Amino acid sequence: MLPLVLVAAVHAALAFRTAALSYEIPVAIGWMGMLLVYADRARTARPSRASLFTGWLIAAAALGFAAFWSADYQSPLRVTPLALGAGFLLLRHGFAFLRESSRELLLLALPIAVPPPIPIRPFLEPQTATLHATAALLGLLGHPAAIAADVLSVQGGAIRVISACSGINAMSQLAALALMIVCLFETTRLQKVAVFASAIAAGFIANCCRLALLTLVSQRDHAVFELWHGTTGELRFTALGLALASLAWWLLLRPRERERERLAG
Amino acid sequence: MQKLIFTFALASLLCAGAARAGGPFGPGTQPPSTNPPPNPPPPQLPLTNPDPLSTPEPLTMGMFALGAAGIAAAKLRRRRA
Repeated sequence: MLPLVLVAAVHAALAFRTAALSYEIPVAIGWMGMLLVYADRARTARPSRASLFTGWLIAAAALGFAAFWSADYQSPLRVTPLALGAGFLLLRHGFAFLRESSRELLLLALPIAVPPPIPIRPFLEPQTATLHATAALLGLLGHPAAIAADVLSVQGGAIRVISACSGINAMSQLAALALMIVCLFETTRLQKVAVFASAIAAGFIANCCRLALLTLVSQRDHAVFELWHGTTGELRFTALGLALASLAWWLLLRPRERERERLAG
Repeated sequence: MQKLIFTFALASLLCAGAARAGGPFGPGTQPPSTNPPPNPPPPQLPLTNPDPLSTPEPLTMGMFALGAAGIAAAKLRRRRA
């Protein structure tokens, strides 16, 4: 366990050196989840010479790239946690062990997908759905809304909902936490799907609530609009999304725990 | 094992602090130059950049990390039980 903790610590330190916060945090979370999964596994396999050599090669290359680019973030850095983790597992335990390490590898692949790279963002951003859901929410609150292109308007207020406002970052972060849950806890296939769905839904709902509030205050009080549009407002709605997702995950995983207690009793 | 994982978490935090403070793990610094300043860089177009990381607020990313820490704590608690 100690060698892997050391490898993780060195890589995390190199990631922190890039000073790119949205790369550092997924790397730290990926390693943390990987260590927790790895700690629970029986590790008796011995590597063959070929595995040892290939593992060393991959791990050294990954660590070398991480060190080389550590002064300034470069996008290929996102692959280094996965390559380093795979190389380490290969050199310590062999190919058969690596093949059964899908949870560890998935967790280390987190920094590749979070935050979503720019080329694939347009395919992920639910701009139209966000517009219509926010309009429906405003209608439920007694403020009928109209949509014209990307402009959402109510009587006395209007905002532009560009694709970057679709909450994709919050949703991807919650999906990353959902991945951590399904990798760390024993879940059925249905629970796995539900954990991911609730993460996406929580991020989406929180963002729609934020946009609905911004629409309502948009042409009434500039200071209030700036408060909710800025860091303070964003943080509060991020907290709302996390709270909604946490509640859903707790409800989803609680019955299984009860069942286990009943079986133990 | 739990001590090791906590050590990892603590080391990560220390590295983060050191990076922010420009310590041994901090981003490389350059000495002040006496040359005239170069031309200003062209404006960045976020959608054409191959892989720019978004610039999230530290507190928002902190919330993300807090969620992960909560999940890890729940896992450790269940292991102890």
